Amino acid sequence: MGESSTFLGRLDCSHWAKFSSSWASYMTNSPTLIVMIGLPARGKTYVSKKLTRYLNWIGVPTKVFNLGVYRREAVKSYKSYDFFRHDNKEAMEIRKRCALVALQDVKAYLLEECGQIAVFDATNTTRERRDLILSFAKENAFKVFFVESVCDDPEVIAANILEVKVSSPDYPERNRENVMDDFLKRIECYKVTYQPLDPDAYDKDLSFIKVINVGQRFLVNRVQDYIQSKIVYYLMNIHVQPRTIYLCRHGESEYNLVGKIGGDSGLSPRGKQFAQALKKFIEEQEIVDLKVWTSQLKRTIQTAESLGVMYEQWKILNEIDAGVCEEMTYGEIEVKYPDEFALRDQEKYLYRYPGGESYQDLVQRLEPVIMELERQGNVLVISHQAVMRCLLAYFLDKSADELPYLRCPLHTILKLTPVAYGCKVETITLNVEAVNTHRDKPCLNSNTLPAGHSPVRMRRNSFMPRASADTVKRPWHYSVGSKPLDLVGAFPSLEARDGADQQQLQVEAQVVPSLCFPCPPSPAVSVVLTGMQPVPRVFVSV
Amino acid sequence: MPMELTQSRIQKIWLPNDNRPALPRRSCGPQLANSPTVIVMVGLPARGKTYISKKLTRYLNWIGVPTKVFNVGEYRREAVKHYSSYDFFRPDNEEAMKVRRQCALAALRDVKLYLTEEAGQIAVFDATNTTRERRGMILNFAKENGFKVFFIESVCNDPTVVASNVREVKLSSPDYRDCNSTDAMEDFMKRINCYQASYQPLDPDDYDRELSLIKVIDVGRRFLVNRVQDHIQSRIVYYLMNIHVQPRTIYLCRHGESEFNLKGKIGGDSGLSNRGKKFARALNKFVEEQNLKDLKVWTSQLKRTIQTAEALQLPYEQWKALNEIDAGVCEEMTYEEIREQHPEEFALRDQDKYYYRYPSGESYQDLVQRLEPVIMELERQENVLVICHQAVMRCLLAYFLDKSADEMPYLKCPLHTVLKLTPVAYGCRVESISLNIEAVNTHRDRPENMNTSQKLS
Repeated sequence: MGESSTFLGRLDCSHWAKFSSSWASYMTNSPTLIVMIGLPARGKTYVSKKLTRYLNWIGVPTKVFNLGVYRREAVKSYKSYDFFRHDNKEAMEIRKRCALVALQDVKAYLLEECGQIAVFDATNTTRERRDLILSFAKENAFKVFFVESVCDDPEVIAANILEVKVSSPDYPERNRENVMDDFLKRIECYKVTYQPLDPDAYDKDLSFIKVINVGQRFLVNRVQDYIQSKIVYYLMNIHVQPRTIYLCRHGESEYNLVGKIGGDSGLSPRGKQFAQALKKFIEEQEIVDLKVWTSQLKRTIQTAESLGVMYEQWKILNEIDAGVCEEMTYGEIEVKYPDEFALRDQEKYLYRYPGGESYQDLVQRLEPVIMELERQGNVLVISHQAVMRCLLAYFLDKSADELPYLRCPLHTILKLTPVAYGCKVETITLNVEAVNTHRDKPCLNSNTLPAGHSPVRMRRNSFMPRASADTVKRPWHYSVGSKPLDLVGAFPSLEARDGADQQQLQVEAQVVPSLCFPCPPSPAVSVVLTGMQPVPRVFVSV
Repeated sequence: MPMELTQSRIQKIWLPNDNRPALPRRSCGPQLANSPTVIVMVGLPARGKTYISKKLTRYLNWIGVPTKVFNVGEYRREAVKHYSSYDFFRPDNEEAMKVRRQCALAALRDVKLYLTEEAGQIAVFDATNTTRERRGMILNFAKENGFKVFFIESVCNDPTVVASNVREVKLSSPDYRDCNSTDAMEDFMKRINCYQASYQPLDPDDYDRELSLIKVIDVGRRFLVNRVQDHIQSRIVYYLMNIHVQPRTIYLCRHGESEFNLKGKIGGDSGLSNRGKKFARALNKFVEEQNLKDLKVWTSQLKRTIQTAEALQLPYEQWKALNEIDAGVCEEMTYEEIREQHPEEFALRDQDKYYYRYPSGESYQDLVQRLEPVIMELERQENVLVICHQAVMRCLLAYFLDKSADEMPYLKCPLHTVLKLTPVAYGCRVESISLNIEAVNTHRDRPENMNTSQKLS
């Protein structure tokens, strides 16, 4: 057994072919089709989008296929709930064909675009429809996992309708009462033919979770593998209670002042000022039951100490470990380790410091923090630049490509509030001066690459987040074998609008226009919502 | 002065200078539970309640949540020295019913003691608890004491499973020590029947809709979960959904002897020595001889485990989480060098090896947190060979063999030795297989005479 030049083992194709997926093989082998089930306004799209965001963040390429979007393309103008009457044969035909087209897209995503999980977001309330999907999955060797949302609480349903349906493209006039009225009649149309999953008999061999009354109760049947088990765990931890998450870094530290990275230095005088300002800010927010979390490094703890409240120290919130580069300045690193310095700029997400960590490692480390954040109510997380970028990427659905360049300046708080299908972000600068620790992505050409270095290899068994809308804009085409729909106008690309009813929001508080690199296309409306910004995908091959 | 902090000597935790009491030594992370919790098992006999109780308790203790099982059957065996027959369990046996109730109350008193005075966090009340009356009594007890309650019901109507359970753990019970297998089996089946008539399963749709519970159906094929209240209940549910009872074997071993091992250096990322390479080849032969179907092989991301796996000619997964404990400033030093250059740290580590964190490094306690996803995935898997490192292997072994934090850092995990773990009855059988290839000994025993006078404050 000879010693390989790199300890990643023989890099011949056959060896790597066994690990052709970009995450551990234990995670999932066959692609999986997640099938949502439930009457309208039961939170299917909410769950689809949130779950997709989570799965992409932990590195499992996932995409939502929302049938309503396909239907809106096919039938340009929605008139009324009559479209959804079960005796409206013409409409039923259109709806069925939309489903088939969507499934063809699912197939393309899972087989040709290296997707791992497709979330089929539709009512899927009849056995007939579900059997169609099961056949489709069987033909293509996809696993199927059903997520059914059952809710009979009229208040919850009314709240859902007001939150996301009133602003749907189906109801451009947005007259609340009319919308409510029509939508409730729409729901009635589905109720007539609704056949819930039946774990005792008809559906006893299917893999599924029934979510009852917004997470009060769950029925879980035949979980097949790791990823289904993670999905169940995630769904059991999320909730829909209103709350706010505050993310910020420690106050400016002594090392920040001298440009050193890592280490465990204390706050500078300005950092201490920030801590005081943070205390004032928190008091003004008048938050009920605020939990405060810090890392186990001195600078975040000192910041929390000023607040005069209880806080939890999490070692896993510690800053990225820069290994041999700890406590050096970027200038010193460039001089002492020029190759490493160049490599990092080339592939900042995957790059692991020698003896240290990568952003990819950080994401894996932070997963329990995210899970616990989902369980909690109001939380303030005082952490570090790289850590905050990872957490922010989860909430704002940012890809691995963007993540290491998200702007998380010192002395600035990001206030995140769940809203509709995403997350509202407000940036609050506490007006205490601090150094700027942000490094933009440099312009790279081949001259700057160190000679003889291949692109950084991805470590197996690590996570690599992708943004949920992170796909190349595909020109629309009809898949072979299905008739083009007989409609007015062609289908524009569906990639830009991922999912159903998007809510347009005006944000009152001050928002920094560019929270990411590159800048979003419309700086005038500084709204940051998940799934809104299509970003060209960078696919890192293994 | 606010913001003046000192770092605790052993755990390296920054604490404020004022005289606030030191943080309790819980696992780093969220407050796992505020009020103590009573987990109440529910189910007919031979449904796996004790199996789940013990396994769950082992897991919770390993992740740092003090947990203890209170098995009412044991209390009953204390009270009624000799078990004669299933007649004891007949519902019309009033005197026996009294005794059984007394036993339950005695157990609950001990639960209360454990949770209020012995720093326990979770008590697992392992009994059939099949009637609403009994469960009502427990709920009152919990309410009086401010304990949370979480029910775990095991429902199984598959007669093969039940019979297999009876054979596996009941026939060897102290109750049947003077019995032959057939008689014991027959008696136990009659015992189960005694409970059947009065069994009121949990009813989450109506009577029990306000309770926090999980119903485990048919050994994990299906679960019904109601009103999970907090983080620890959510973790418990996740754990229960990942465990299985299929027979399988777990092999734990370290990488082959490394170059650094030869020099006595800790940590680092060196390659295998010649003897280490020999071990890798011997391991390959051993694995082949085991003739396993579908063996998964896991390594760390350090060279020495990967080189070892390479010799196996099998696909393997690299886990960064399996990397050796980070010795921080002491990385790549020998113990002698550490003793010379960091004498205080050296002494502190021997004083409290589980909680001791190397400066800028890790502690065994940190390792456990890091390894929890590995354990969870090991529970999901079947046959697995884990090639790791000394401290990591100690942590994993402590989980399987239910070793305390105190014992964990001193478990013997020598080089070139494979530990073969097979689940059996309520625990784990372990076989130690030395592959007969010489290697240095990297084990340091617990130093003698560690008494309080030597403890540095």
